[in-house]
Amino acid sequence: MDSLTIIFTNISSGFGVAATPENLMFGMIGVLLGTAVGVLPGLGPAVAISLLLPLTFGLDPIAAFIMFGGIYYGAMYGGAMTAILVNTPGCSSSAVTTFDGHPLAKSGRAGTALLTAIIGSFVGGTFATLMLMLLAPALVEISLLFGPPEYFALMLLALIMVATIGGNNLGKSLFSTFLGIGIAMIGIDMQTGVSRITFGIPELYSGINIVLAGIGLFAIGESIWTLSGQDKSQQTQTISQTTRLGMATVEWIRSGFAWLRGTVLGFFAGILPGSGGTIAAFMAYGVEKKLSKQPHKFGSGVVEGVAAPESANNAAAGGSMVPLLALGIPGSATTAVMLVAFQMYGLQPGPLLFQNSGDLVWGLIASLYIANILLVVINLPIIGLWTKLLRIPAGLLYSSVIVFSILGAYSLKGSLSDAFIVVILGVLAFCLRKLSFPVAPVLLGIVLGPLIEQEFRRTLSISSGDLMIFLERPISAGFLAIILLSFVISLMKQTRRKTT
Amino acid sequence: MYNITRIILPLLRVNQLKKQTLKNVTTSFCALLMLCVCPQAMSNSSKNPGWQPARPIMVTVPSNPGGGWDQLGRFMQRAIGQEKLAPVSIEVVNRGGAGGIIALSELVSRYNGDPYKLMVTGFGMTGATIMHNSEFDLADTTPIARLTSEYQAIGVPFNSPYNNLEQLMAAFKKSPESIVWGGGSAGGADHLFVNLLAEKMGVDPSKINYVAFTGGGEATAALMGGQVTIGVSGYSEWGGLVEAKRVKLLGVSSQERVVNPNIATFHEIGIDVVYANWRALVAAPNISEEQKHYLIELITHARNSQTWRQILKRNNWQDSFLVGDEFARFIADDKQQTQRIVERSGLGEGGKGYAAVGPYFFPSIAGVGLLLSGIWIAISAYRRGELMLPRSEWQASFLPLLKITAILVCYLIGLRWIGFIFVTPLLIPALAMQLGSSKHAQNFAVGVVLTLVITLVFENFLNVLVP
Repeated sequence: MDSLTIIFTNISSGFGVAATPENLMFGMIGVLLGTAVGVLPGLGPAVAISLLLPLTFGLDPIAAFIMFGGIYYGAMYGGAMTAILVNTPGCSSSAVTTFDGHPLAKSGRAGTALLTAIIGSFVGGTFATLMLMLLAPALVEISLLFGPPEYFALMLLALIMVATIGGNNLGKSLFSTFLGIGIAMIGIDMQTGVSRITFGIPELYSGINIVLAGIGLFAIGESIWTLSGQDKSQQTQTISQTTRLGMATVEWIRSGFAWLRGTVLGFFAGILPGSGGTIAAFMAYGVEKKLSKQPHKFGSGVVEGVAAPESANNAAAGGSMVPLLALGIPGSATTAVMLVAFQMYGLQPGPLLFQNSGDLVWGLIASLYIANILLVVINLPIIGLWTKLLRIPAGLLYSSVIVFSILGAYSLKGSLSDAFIVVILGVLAFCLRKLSFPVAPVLLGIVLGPLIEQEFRRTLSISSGDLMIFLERPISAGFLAIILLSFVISLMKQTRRKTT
Repeated sequence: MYNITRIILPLLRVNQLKKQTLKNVTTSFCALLMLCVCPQAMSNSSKNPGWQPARPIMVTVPSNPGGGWDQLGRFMQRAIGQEKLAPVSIEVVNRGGAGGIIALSELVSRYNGDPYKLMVTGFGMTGATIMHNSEFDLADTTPIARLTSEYQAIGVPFNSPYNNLEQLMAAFKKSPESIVWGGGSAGGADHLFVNLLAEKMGVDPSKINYVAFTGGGEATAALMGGQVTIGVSGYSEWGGLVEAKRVKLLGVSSQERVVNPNIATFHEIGIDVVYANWRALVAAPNISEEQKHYLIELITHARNSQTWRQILKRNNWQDSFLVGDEFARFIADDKQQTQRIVERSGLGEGGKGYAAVGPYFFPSIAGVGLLLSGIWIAISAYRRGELMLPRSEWQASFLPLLKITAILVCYLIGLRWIGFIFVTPLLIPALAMQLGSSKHAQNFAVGVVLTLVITLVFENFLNVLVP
């Protein structure tokens, strides 16, 4: 109780530092800018923050960080918005949101989808900040228990749990997943430095990362799909333009559970360095589908299919602040830039930060809360405005999406070869869809494939080639047991279905 | 001046294009040419103590945001800005990829002779150019100044049985396989340091058990969790972890105890390894002597400033300032030494170090998986008689795909050779036509407006120069 009182005093003084009119203005700028870069494919919060770095030299650190927090949370929501409205996620962590978000929008419920996304983002972000405040030191100890074997088992579990979400044909889902893993192997191998499947083309050395894959497979893929007249509803403009904002009571309840589950899952995924928002969103969606009483309805527009991933990716954003603040370890591209920002102010995040600059840390935590509240306050009233985007003729809308996508890919390294890569991936996505292969597992393979591979090889280097290490360590053994159990259960279900 | 032209230019180009007459296009080109040449000409004539920059100087960071190179670039930007050393602003852009080779080849080939381009570089880039047989190397650039050096430090978990460097190195020498090293990616500064150490200690490189992590942070986390025996990283990256009793730092790669009097050096326990991860700035090749002189002066002033001194101290960086020809000689020497380590450790061909699972294991799994699931799908489709799509279906879907792909490829080629501003207004109506939209003029107008807005926003606010 005593420590709680201390935290309470600290945080209220933190709010005292953070909640000045000037800081609120910077927070608002952050949220708007974040939402904007979230909407644009290829540009993410990391880019936005590093662009703002030189402008923030003259600012008070709290003002800068309240803005950065706004950008981080705003970008997560901005990505969801385009995912729902145009089926083209602005950042890869919102790819999952397209599964149910866009069908909702198509049936005239874009407002509902945006509403559940924005509240999910708020719940995820706020809860993550709360956990950060209360439990950061303890959480750090948990994250340190995760070594290569634990990561491997967890990522394998995620892959197996989620691989089937895109479709019901197991063979085709597997094919897509392996395709993604194969694509992810392109580039220089981290463990040995050899270049793999690059055919000696230097442009392929750095590989095809999540951002390029997200732009190519989803944004460009969807645009080509629509522009080639595959989507009859787009073509004939039958997409309903009445946008009901509200949700039915039962949907509020279903969303509520999805928000909570997504938040918890996302937060823990965020704490683990290198894991991040995309994986969190995929896993949250997978869990929601597994637990649902009507799993077959997923993909046709259910609110929890939007609520879960959106709360998960915002919670992951908050979770990644834990290793950053408590250990000085950045777990994502965005926190890596934030680390630089800290150092610019002469602060060294790490175990001593709480002791040495307590005022600032509590101000920062308070500013994360404020950024979150601003996110809702700014974006809730303009949901209706955004749904107007659907009134733009499909031809113009999607050709603009292509322009933004190509420019976004180009902006990553300033090379047109990346623009070529996303176009190729877009064509690939089109072909897969036409032959009714699910596209999402390809992205999943690209995200999880390298993690699984690297962690597996690291583990075996550590154990000198002994596979038993996976079973000797309790956490990894636990994850592997869950994988085994889920196989057994699905096998039993199948045999029961056959006998009846 | 430059900023104004940057805003006006796109307006001008597009306005002219709208009229679509050859004459107007030519005049626009003339105007464009004038505007491009003007600032340069003016600055050349106005002052004459050598060369002065007339537009922002761009510092390319050859890695993604965060990390040592990024820090150097951004802190240099800050020092020059805060001390008002240049008449123009300094912009920092990140061009990550392939250990910096992407940025290097861009500097050498695309920005050849451009005095407004600087690039951050360092030890890791030398390693990368050797390992990946890069077409270009640092000798192709114009060396400006080496700025900092960072010694490598090795640490163990706080509860490790090893308490001093001699003990630890004796264990490594006795049974190298039993010591698991954790550090940055293969071929980087951390990895090459371990190989150099092994060479000086007479340890067989094939017995080094080195585990690569994404960046220093993850390796440090693995060390604190006791996943690896020794962590190797730049001295500054250990941050406050020593005071927080998370790790024990046992050794540092300097000759004397310069960074921290409590940490032993390899040199003093009889291992002849002095090694620093240097970071520097280079410029594009074939710039004039005056331009080179200006850039060296600028960086020298920045380095001598109070701001820079503070930055060095705060980041635990060692000043290792070296300019011009001496720096060029250093680059050549460094390359030789690195080449030797890379060859000895067999890097580039897969490495000689210990690895339980090779680099081609997972690609093979993916390949076999694709093959098997492909066969499965084909068989089940054949059984259902759905192996081939109906002919009409093919025509309905793949013909439009072909058209759109062709348009996009033309667009990309246009981007490369003509420029964003000219081809984008054409792309929009061309794509919209695919859906049967026949309002070409309207679509074209939308394209023009969009192009204009994008160019303004991306170039002025997002710092992305459109192709």
